[in-house]
Amino acid sequence: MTPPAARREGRRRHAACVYGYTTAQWGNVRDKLPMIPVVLSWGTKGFRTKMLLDTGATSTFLIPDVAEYLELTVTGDPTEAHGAGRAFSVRDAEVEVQLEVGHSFGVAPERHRIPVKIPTEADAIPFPVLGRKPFFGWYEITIRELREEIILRRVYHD
Amino acid sequence: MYARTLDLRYHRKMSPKSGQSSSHRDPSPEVLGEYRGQWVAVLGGKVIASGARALEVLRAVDRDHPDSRPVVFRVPAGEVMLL
Repeated sequence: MTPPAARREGRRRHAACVYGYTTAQWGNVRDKLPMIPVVLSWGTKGFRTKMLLDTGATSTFLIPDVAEYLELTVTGDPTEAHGAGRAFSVRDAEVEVQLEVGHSFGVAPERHRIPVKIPTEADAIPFPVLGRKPFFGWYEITIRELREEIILRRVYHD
Repeated sequence: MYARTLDLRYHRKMSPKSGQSSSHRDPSPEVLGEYRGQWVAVLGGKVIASGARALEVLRAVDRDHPDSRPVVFRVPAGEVMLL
């Protein structure tokens, strides 16, 4: 019989969560984006939302409206973030993020306090962006474009 | 190799056309298409608030649906993006 510790380890290794794409269609146009449902919170404020999974973004970005709603404390002087074609100004903040558990196979809803960048211009980015830091260090991410699915597999570092 | 990477013995348990949280269901793509580029608040598969800005939708939800927890997000609009 498998020892309990090994069973736990096996469950942890196979822990995964599957999410569908967010899709809109009008006429013959169909647009789909890999967006991850999360809960963003800070202090007593919080709400459920979806963030665009962006493998090319080095950091996680929120939009100014979200920072204002959550009453995030922005710190430091503005710095430059380099988007496509132009740079835009961002400030630093922290937020608590928790994955919404989709079709889950052992992924517990963990809450993380993470650093985020907040653009100083309202329309610098169209979506909140889940970027590489720190999210990609926690999950093996599989994007199944044709099936319109994202699979997150939790990685536990010993 | 592919099966091992995706661990399909678990993946098969998933219903084929889902992938969303059991507590959240998006409206159909056609309904979301009516709100392309807008921020929406979705509860039980229905859009309960919408607007051009996230802040106005979040405040509308607080005002009109204080006891509910909709998912508030921007609907894809087919724009060309390189973030």
